[in-house]
Amino acid sequence: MTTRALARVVVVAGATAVALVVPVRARQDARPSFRTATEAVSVDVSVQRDGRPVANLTAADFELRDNGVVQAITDLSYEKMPIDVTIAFDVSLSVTDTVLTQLRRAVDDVRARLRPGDRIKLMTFNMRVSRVLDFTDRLADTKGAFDRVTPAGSTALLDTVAVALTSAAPVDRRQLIIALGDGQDTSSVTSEGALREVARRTTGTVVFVLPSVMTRALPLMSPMAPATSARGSVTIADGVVSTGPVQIVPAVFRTIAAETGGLVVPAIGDAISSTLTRTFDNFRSTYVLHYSPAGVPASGFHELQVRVTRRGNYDVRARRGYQN
Amino acid sequence: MRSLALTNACALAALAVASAGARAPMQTPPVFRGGTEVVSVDVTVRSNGQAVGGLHAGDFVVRDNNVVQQVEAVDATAMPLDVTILADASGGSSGAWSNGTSAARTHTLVERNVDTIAAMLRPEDRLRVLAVDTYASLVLPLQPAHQPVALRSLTSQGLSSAYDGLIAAMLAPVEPGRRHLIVAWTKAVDTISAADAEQVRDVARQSDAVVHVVQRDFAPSDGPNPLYREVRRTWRPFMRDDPSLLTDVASLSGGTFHGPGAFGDVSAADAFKPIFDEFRRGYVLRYSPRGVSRGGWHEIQVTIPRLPTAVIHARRGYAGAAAVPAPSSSGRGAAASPPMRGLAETFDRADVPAMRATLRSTPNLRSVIHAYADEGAMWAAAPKHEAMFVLELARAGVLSADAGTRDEALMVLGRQHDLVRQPLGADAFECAWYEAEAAVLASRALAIQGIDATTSAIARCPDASGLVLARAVATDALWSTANARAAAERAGRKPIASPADVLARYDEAISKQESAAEAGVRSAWLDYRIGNYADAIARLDAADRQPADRVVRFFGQFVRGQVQQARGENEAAEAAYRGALVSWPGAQSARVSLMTLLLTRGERDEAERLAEDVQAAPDSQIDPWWIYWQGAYRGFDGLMATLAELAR
Repeated sequence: MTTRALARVVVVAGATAVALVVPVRARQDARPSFRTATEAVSVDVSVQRDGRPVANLTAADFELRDNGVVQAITDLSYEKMPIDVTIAFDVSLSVTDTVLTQLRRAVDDVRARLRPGDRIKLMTFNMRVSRVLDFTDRLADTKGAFDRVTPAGSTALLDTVAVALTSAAPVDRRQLIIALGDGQDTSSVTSEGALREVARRTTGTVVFVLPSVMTRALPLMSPMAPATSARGSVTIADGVVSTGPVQIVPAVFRTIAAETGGLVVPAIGDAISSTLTRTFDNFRSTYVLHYSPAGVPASGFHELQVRVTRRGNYDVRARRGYQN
Repeated sequence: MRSLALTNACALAALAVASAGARAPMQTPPVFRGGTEVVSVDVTVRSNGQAVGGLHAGDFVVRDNNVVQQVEAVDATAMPLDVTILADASGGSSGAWSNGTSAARTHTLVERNVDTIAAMLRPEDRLRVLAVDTYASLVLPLQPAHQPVALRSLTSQGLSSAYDGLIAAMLAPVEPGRRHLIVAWTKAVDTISAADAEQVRDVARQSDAVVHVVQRDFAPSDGPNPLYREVRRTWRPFMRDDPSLLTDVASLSGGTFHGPGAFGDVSAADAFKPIFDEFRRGYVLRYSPRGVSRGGWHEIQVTIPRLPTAVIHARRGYAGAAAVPAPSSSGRGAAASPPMRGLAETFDRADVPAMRATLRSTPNLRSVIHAYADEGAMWAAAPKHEAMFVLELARAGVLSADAGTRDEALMVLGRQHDLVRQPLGADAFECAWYEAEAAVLASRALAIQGIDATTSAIARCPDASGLVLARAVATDALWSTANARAAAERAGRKPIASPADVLARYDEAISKQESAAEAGVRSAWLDYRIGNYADAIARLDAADRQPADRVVRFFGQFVRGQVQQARGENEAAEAAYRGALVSWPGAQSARVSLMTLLLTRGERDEAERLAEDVQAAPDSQIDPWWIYWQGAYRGFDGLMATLAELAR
């Protein structure tokens, strides 16, 4: 089994839990409560073989360990739970018009793949994190939502992801956050460490899509940190400069993506759209494993390990764990 | 006469050249703005050889072009004075016309006289000394009269730029509520000035100062003088032969000419005392001209009907608006190209939003700025107005996404940086202009340019705390930012070696009261970024926690939250973030920081609310943190307002 990343934990929690504690199949409120007496954990698990999703697996085909202790999987679902997809769209000055056009098309393509019951939310970010459209299943509302975007300002990508993850998430829906950015973060106040803590306490799966133009910009990031700086430094992006403790290197995105069971997707030119839709399709083709933690202390960080016990070479992605 | 609307003219530019010794030929004669709305006239009254006090407005009759005006009179006794001593140090240590005067001897002589004069002034009075030799130079910038006098060394190179010196002294700006008295202690010989005699007269007509001329060695009317002949033979191309000039200057400005021997042994101090006594006991008459056209020469006559035999000294007149060669009331010339003319008209109307909108929508801003650079000054008669226009133009260019436009803007800005220099030393306008320039450069965090501009400006305005802070911020940006460091490398500049260098700059700003709070916070943020959390907290503790500037207050609380969170002091960090949100409600940076902190601590509900608040914030919601590195730029509009006030 190779391990890539993409998965999701939907979780459960006890009354004291800080974390992602959800009654399985809870009501479909817009702002659900995570506090329940029932402790159950839901884990999104993506399984692929030769680059294609693998279907028809049963609970018996999985081994799930919570802090090293094998757990009994009480329920399994596949492609059944509705999806809430959040698309966060970089509108900083460093994003070119060409890239903007590609990104708009990609959003349209994702929208076209939503099923009844799925919802979409649109955000933009430069130094400002904005919600353009709140979760809606009326797909027509999304049309032209980004048409009047004019690139300006610096980039607060990590802040955006932190806000998107922290936003209230109904427990019976799967959360996919797609951040389309240029790979630079020039004005976030959220550090990598802080975002990792947020990721551990929330349920969303984060996918970073970095178009080719953006990907080439990544090497600009590393020299930003002065050699003597323990906290990183700052960078300028077209007149607006970061004030944050910049520790933004590509590894940050990989770390956060892996923490949430997501991934970093480099997209090249017109392939942005196909990359994004493929990512979305893969997310939909995901198993959700449910279990009630046993044999492990309820509190603290729970490291998760998931594997497919069937013979063969599978790519299995699941989030690394959750904080309770 | 002093016109409140009248300011010194573009001759300053020529004087800057002259006093700096560049000796560039004067391309155009000085021109003046005449948009006079209130006319002030310094008047002295003597009767039976004694100064007359106790007069009131009703005692005076003032005629402006023969039309009686309604005046108010101010007893000038209490008004503080700015006194300029123009000390003629011309003449080399050898040579017939110098009488063997050495530079050292002249220096001692001038210094002794200045000390004596300073002792006659009141604490609220101020004194400056301008020396005339081959170059006119400021050897004592304007300073409180009772401050110890430390003259810069005088030179005696043999020639005399007396005309340039006179013009430089007369064009020194006079602040409202003060009077300017010039005592020109001169040999009355000029051999190399850039200005000619007519220009000196023009300036005397317009000057805000009253000029008393004390001739040192001989009267021009005494006929050929051995010294004069020597000069003629050697320097004929530059020789000025206008024996009535000095008496005209004194008379036109409302002062008097004192020939050799008028005060016995005419040391400057001896000459000064009676002049000062009379001037101190004078009056300032003010009126708004009525019944006369604004343009042209306005002859002023002052009489006191109940004292028909009194000797009254007042300036002879002033030039009204129509005397200005420029057609605009703002002093703008007519030569500008159509795009520039449109911008200039908008600027003249003080319609800043419209001007900025025009600049933003200009399809080729680069060519517009280039055209301005080519066409040159549009407000030749109003250099301060011009200097402010350049700031707006440069601001738009610097903010442009096009590198070529930015380069053009920086070129224009750099040129104006030199032109704005006042020949007699930096005044409030010049220093404020430099601060506005630093703000423009900060708008794009142009670190190298910011450091260069502020360093040059600080040499002129060492007390300007805004400049010291701006330099520290630019130095920080150069050390901290990849783009700035790359720019430094391209320019072959040494990078900032260590954060200690940056902190030293911040410490300079901390030593100045006005910038201490912000510099303290910014230095703490730097300490935080390099992991010196304890030092960061110490700096924050030392800084004013409740500065008047709301932005600085926000910075301080937000930075404190960041540092304390890094130290694991989460409760204190939470309090700091909440404090920041009180200082600046809705600031995204504080909301996001508080959100992640609360989520980590298990306070999910409030964290979710904050996430919602962040996403739903209206576009009008601004976070000061977004412009942290733009430093002084947030004060740009305020600085422009200050400049407008100072230029008025």
